[in-house]
Amino acid sequence: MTMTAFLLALPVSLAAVLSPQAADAPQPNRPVEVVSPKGSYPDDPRLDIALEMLRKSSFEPAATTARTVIKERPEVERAHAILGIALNKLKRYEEARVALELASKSTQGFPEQRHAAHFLGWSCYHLGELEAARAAFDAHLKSVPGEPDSTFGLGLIALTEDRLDDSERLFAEALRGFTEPRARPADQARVLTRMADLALRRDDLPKAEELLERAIKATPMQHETWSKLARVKDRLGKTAEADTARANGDRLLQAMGRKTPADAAPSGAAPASPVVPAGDSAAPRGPEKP
Amino acid sequence: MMDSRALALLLPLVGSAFASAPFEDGIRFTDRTAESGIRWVSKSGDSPSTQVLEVKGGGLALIDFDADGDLDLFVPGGATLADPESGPGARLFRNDGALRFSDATETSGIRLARWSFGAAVGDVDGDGRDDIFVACFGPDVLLRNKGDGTFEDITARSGVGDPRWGTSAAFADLDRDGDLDLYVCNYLGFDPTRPLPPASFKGQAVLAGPRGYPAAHDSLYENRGDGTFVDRSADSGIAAAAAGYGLNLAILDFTGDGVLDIFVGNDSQENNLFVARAPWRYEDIGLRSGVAVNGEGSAQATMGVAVADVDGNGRPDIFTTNFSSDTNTLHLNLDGRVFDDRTNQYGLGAPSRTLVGWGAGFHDFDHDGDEDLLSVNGHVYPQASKALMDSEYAQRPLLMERRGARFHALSSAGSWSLAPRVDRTAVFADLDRDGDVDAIIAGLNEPIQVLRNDHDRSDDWVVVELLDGPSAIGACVELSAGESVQRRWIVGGGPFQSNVAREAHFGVPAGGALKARVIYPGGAVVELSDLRRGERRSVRSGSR
Repeated sequence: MTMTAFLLALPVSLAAVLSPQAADAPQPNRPVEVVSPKGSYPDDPRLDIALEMLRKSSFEPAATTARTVIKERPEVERAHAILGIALNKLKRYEEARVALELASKSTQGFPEQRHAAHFLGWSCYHLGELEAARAAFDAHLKSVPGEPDSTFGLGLIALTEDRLDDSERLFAEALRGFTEPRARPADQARVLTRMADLALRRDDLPKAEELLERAIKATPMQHETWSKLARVKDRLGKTAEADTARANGDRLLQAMGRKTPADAAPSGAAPASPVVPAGDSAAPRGPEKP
Repeated sequence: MMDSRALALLLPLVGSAFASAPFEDGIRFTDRTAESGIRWVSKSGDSPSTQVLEVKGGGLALIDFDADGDLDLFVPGGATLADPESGPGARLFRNDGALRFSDATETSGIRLARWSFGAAVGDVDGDGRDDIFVACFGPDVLLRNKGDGTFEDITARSGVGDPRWGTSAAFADLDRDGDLDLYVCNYLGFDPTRPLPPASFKGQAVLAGPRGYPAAHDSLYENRGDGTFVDRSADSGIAAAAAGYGLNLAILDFTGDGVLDIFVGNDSQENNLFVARAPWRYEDIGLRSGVAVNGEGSAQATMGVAVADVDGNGRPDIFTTNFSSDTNTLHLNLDGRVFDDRTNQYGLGAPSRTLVGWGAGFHDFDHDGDEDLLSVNGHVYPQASKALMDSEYAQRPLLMERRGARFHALSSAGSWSLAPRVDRTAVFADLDRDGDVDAIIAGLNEPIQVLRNDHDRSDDWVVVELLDGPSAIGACVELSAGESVQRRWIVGGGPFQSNVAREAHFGVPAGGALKARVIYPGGAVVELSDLRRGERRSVRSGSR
């Protein structure tokens, strides 16, 4: 994943964690974040390097660096946060959870500490531990009210638990958060795609179609959205449009190396837009086998 | 045995002896392996596994080979990379009643030392006796039941000795001509002497596969009626589908048009749903129907397959087990043509995220009128741990109890369920004929495990056993009790590299007169009259 894609995949306040310049700027719709100034918490210069690695999507080296700091200077709890974020991005969720739980409980006041709960929430979600995920997202929202990606996480948990009304409310709230103060199309698309899941759960195919088309308008780079749109078009009897959507999704998979052209469904569909992998902190279900 | 609910009420009085074996609600199994007489470890290469050939394990097959009315057990045999042709051999265990078995391999004449994986059971030559097809690494094998307790290898004359690596297989009368045809899932091309270099999973070097190895097309055979077969893979359209890493299948009329369809679960690739457009002409509607991928559009590592009417709409839904860091998947069959991933709606996603799932089955283990779900688990990578891969190598079974609209994972259903194992498959049936569903589990270099369901009531169940082989596979058994209607399907295929017993078990709580009918493929219906709770009824098409 590119640095841009990684940062785009993070919500505003979380991107700020990895972007000190932006962190200084107050967010109009949420409290100014107060963190301890540099020098007031145990630190190690190698962690700034690790943070830079995270920004460049070099997650494995970032994790290695953080581990080295933990080994040599166990009193520097900031290293657990850096390690946990890196492991979360590497989809090693159990290890990430351990590190992020330590970081969340820290009282040292390092900048990343407040957002450890967010990544902890996603790690727990991916481990299937919904109660722990909910607690983590709730904790994050207490320290960063309205943070849309944690709100989105809670919405996803509600959908997983089949609490449809709660899910609808939380997704709507997350979508607003990803729209103001500035639009974040990739995040909007993620939420819209899940709102379409909700519509499908309610057997409202036209609504699902509309939401998925809005998601694709926000960004055409997410295979999941194309795939779902193809399914909805099929169910609505729009076979040609379904084939087009499916072919676009296949091209995304091919560009990611997850599908060979020979596997792709043959069709005369329109070409897909240029492709980058979706940087989805709410990565959907799907195999990770080598 | 005492009703489990009554026992639960007595627990405070009887003290810690009973309390030390905790269980929830009405589901409880007891591990009877030691008393069963089955002392057998399913060989599958060496430990730890180093190549993909070693990690699939062997299946199990239920067969009444001696026609004494209870189900015996056939166990395919594994081997080692050094000599895939000469393992400890397949085994046959005779059911002597009361969940006690004796090893009948020697007297049966079965001498199958080749590394074998899946097994299918059916009467291929119309002599009234069930035969055994065994999918192997190397030529598949067909064993004819001679009726005197022995089998003969008729592979050469049957024409089903495909040398490719076969996994699961199933018999069904696909062309409704009165004999059993055969579908065989083939996995991939593998040479033990030339394995691929290690792959990477979550940053760890792991054994390679399936990706990187050439996928194999499946095989479809038409029975000539005498136990010899014609390969219809090419002209039927089966081979026209992209080659897949085939691991499992379910043959059933999923579309509701009266013709049997074939669902094929592929490893790390899109699944197939082959529907018949004309005799021996199949079209794959996997993608269009929605069963090829999960709701996110991702192909999964489909291994276990189970079928049930989860949403009560009268149509068979498809449940599949998958890899870790993914979830098991439930595709609801909405109208016969459209399937929708409703895994989360039924609570089946989150509990499976850290598991690698294999054999699975829907059964009403607690006789409360709905089907619960048991799946067995275990990783393929020996170095798997929660810390390294978010998933342990040895894993507990996942027992999900149906409570209303959702399934709930039980923390325990007896001490057996607390012990992590590296399991691969399970078969389910009323093996001791006491009216509840027992289970036998096979793992990877693990002892076969025999579980007795201790529900043990005599008045809250019905079992309908279908005796006629060719027409039974694909049949639906419907049971009505008052306003409640339950359905069971006799599926071709099984939990994983295994088969499904030709019996439909129902839990029937008190209330309402019972009515049942069997709907055979093609539409013939047999109504069952005067059915009573606590009754096992054997049915032939045309009988009542």
